[in-house]
Amino acid sequence: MKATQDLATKFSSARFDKGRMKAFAEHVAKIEASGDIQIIDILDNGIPPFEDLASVHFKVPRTKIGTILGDLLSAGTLNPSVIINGIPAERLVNVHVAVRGR
Amino acid sequence: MVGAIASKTVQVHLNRRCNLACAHCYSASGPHETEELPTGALIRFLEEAANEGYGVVAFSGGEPFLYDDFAAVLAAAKALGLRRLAVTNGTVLTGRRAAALALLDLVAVSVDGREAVHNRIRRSPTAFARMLKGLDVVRGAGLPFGIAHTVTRDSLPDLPWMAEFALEQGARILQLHPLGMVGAAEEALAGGGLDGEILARTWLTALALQADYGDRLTIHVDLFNRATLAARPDLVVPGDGSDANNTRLSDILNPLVVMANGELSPICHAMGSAFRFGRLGDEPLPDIARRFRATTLGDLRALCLGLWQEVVDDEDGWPYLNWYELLETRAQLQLVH
Repeated sequence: MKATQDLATKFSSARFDKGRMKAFAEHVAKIEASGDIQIIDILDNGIPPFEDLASVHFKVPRTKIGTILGDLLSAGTLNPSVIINGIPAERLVNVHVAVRGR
Repeated sequence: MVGAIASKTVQVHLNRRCNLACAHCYSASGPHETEELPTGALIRFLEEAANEGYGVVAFSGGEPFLYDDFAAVLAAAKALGLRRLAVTNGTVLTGRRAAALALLDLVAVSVDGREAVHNRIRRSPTAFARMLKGLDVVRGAGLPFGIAHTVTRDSLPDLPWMAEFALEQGARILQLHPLGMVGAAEEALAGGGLDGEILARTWLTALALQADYGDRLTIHVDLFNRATLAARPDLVVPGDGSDANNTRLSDILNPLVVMANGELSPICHAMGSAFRFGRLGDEPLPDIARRFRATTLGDLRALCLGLWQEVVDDEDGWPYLNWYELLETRAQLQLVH
């Protein structure tokens, strides 16, 4: 079973408590609503404060990264531990970001 | 993956006759129900609907394959250039009925979960086995098909299984429709309503599954992201019709619902009598559409705008919501001026 399918099983069962499920759902909802973003994966390795939940891996056009990350930061969605293209960066997002195009 | 209906669609409930009497049936259909649409009037109506800009007709019921003239209606819709969809319980696809599949562009077969859950909700010990035979017939007909799944508290843990089942069966689409407490469900599944946590779990599960299955299986969830709705009220609030380009009914109302008794309802099947605005066969659709613009549209917009404002202002609420169930519930409480 792939990691995401295992994660789907966790989401659909009652393994996460209500409070943390709500926090994570709000986090994902803001990412989804933030613009030209394609969510391509949910990973079963959370980043604080969601260590026991998951993190989101999405694609975003390079030209829109600044705007979208800015929106996410200002919305209070994000967490300082961030990875862009596998490189940790200061004060970025609580998601894994893959850059598409130039 | 979001719940808005993009294509301009007429939802036609051909009948309320069904060989099953499912616990979650929003139209409370069953073997003893006799309501059905008159064929001739329906075909004339479809021509008028096409002229009003609707491009898709989605057939439901009851069980649409038990409607005697289903093939004739489908042939007429095809001649009008309408895309033709249907949802079926999959248990009656034999002989002449199955021949109607050739006139469809897409069919959805309802599956409520693993065999025990499916049979319990369908209230038949053989429903699952017969549905599997129906899926064989659908595959044999060679048309694209999807699996329509009503998400309940019982079935939620089985969503990963549902996706695998859909893929194994050859489906292209898995539609997840959270249970609405309307129709038969009000009594048969009392207390089984889905709260925000269940809806969020449904969405996140679907998101993880979609990431996993990619292009192999499209997963559609009949829910809205509140943050998306906040930015896009046009997804759920009908236009006011003042735009000179919005001359056709489909420009301001989508979907248009035809109930099995012929009444027309905006957006949802269970909007309540106050919002029904005409009856198929009683008068031409253009006349009904003019009256709708003059009367019901204003009340409908007020209802949708008010609910939209409540939803986007509810910052303490869960981020995903079943807009259509909220709308139906609110509409049933409202008296139109």
